[in-house]
Amino acid sequence: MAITGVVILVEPNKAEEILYEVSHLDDVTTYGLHKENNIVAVIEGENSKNLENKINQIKDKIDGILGIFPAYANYEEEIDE
Amino acid sequence: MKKISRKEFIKTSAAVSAAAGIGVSLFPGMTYAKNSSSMNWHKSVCRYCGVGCGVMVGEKDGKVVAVKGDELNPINKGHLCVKSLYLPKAINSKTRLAHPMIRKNGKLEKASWEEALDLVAKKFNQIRKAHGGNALAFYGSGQAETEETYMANKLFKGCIGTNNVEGNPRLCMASAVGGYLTSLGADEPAGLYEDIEKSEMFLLVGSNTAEAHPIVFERIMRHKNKNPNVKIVVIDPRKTPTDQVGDLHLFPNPGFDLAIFNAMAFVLINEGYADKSFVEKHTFIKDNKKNIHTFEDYKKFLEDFTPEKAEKISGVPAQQIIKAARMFGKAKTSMSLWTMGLNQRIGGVWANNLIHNLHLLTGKIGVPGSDSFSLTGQPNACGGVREGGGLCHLLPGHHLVVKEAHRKKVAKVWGVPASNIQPKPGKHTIAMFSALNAGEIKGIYIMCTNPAHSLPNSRKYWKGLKEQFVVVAESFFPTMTTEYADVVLPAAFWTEKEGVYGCTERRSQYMPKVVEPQGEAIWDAFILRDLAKKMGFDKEFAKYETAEIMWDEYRGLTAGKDMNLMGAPYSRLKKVRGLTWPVPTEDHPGTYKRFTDGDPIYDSKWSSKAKSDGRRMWFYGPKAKDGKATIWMRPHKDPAEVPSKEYPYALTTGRVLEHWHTLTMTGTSPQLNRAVPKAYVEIHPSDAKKEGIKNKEMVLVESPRGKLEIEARVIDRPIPGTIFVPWHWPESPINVLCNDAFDPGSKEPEYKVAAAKITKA
Ligand code: SF4
Repeated sequence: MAITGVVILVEPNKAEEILYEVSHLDDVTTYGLHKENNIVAVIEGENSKNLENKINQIKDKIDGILGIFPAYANYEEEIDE
Repeated sequence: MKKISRKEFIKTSAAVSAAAGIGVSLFPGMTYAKNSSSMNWHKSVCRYCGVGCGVMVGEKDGKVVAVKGDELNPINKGHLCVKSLYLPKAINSKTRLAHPMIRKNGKLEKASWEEALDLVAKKFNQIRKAHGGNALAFYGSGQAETEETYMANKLFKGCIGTNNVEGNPRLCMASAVGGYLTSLGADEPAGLYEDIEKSEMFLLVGSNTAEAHPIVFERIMRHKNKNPNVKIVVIDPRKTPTDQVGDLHLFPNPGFDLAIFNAMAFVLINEGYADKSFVEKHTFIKDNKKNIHTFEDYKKFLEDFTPEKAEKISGVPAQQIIKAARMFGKAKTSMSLWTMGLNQRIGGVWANNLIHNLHLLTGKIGVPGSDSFSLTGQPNACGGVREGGGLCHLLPGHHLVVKEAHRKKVAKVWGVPASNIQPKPGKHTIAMFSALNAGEIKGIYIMCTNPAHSLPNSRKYWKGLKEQFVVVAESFFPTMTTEYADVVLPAAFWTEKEGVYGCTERRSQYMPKVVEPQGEAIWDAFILRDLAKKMGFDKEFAKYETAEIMWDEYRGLTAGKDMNLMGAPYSRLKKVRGLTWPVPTEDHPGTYKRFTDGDPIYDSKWSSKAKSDGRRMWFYGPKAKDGKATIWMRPHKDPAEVPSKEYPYALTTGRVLEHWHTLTMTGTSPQLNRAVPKAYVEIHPSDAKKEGIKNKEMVLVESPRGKLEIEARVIDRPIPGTIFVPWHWPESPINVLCNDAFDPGSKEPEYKVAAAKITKA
């Protein structure tokens, strides 16, 4: 289990649209749009192998994302692998 | 109460942490996410770059299993960049070195600590006896803790008696040090990161801030988002992700930007943006020979650098230079940020001086929102090496080997005869590795760095590493440097040791030991201490039983200096999110702006003098005279290697977001590896067409120093005539092709410009 909490900073005029798109992605849970253009989200994977790819994919796939800033990462069950 | 699963709990914690970073409480009144975890959280600092973000380390059952941004840290306010997320993976990586190794019959074999340290002590003593202390050397790192560098300094400079002590910050920020000392009279910036949110204009020079200093970039980006009138000018030969916030991008030919800064000064004066009264009261204007000049002389000098003339030199259209200067001049506050693109040049110190000039000329310094602020590459280059004295001319706490009083003071604290410390600087990095090649240096101790990969023109220096006695203390194995090692010593890694890191903004932060070192690894400072004892310096090193003892001794040496850390004992650093020096007493909060009101040194010593002179600043640093900074009349200087018929391209190098230096840490993360798995060369589409090269084809990149086969990435990021290769991968070590010519003042090599050609492989 690999889980990361991120803030997705987006262009303010596209914020609602991007929130909608992000919230429909697999393995992504959103926690609302805050302070005009910050989407709080959690991205998860069965293991950490695809976490980084997922972050990059979101950035590449959705127009209007200025940056994705992780704040938390947990690898509790993976460290011994 | 609803029972939540472990997964839900972690998800909620992750979301709460992310939200807290933007000052949002996701579930008001809900406290379980913070308090009821079975994880122990420890306040620490990111292991990677010089931004110095605060991280919380999550430990469970003696293992580091999680990290999160420290919401209370003023630098990153809970946010992190992608590299730091994978730190737990680096700690637990399979490439951690578990035991000492000794080369026997050409092969590194497992050895005991006793055996390994005995061998190093014996060899070092033999070399010292036969050839003198100067036949030995130490090469350290801006990633080592201050306490570690402090131990190395004492052993080599104070006991062995050689000033051949260097560190990799010579390769990345020596020109910034030279710039600060010669322009402002004292090393390190006058302001802090908090100037970012107060600034109306940013000049980003030779810095891909978005990828190399992501959290600084995030702060700039958020600030601009909130304040659309904020202007950002980028000066860089390459388009980078930093451009997403730029209002104007100037693309100079690599190494030809000095003329641009002079032309900006020309415009600032001619369009009335200069603050003549500030210039008159706070600065000297000097030429290269240090002769003092009038403002009129300076104006005349700048006539050689009109925007039109600068266009001819730099390739940047005059109108763009004028526009950039106007943006700088019109804004009430301006902040310049720069890094390797400016420093790693044979004109690195001059380029730094010319940036400082813009601020001194307009009085945009010493006030909130205005500063000339050099970004640091490594997490403790400022703290451990610049302040800790880990270079060949320095002693700890901004003391100099050439000053007798400084030698005596430091020797007394070290408990060694002052005559042990040599009065002449030792060999700077390139000279040191050249001396290793020549057999003049016969033994070297390398700590926490990988010079076989990172030196410019690196192949040239492999000879010395092969022929002389090489000791490498490292956490990871193998590296390109351990290939040449006679002895490899396993070093404790981040979270397995305590110590202090000092980041870009003069902030010293404490890092705790959270877990036991992996395998037989030992903390670097203790390895050096034990080696010293084995070499016969038992008495001199007997007292260093804890990191705190080392820090306190070092701290004592900073008393009364411009970088006073007397108010920063461990007991205080453990509680606060770092302290920005000068911090002279334990009740002092740390300093925001140096050389002006609020700086304790200025307030106590210089304020009344400055005010009676009608000044708002007093540059009191060791290299300043009469409290004045210096505006330098620096002419243009070509790079050492200019593209030619044979080598028609300018090769430049740099980092990518996902990786750090020579991959010893980020290479341990499959995620980061997959994100950017191998080296590539960026070629502008017009150049690719000219050379008949297609995207993803293999090409030969060749400089006068060698060639490498790398995959082409045809993309309009570099300007035509320039190619870019990131430097991280040992399979494609681009530094082999880089030029090792160096700045005559800072001795920092010119990584950023080499002449090269590209052909289809
Ligand atoms: S910006 Fe630098 S210090 Fe901050 S999290 Fe990223 S690598 Fe670490």
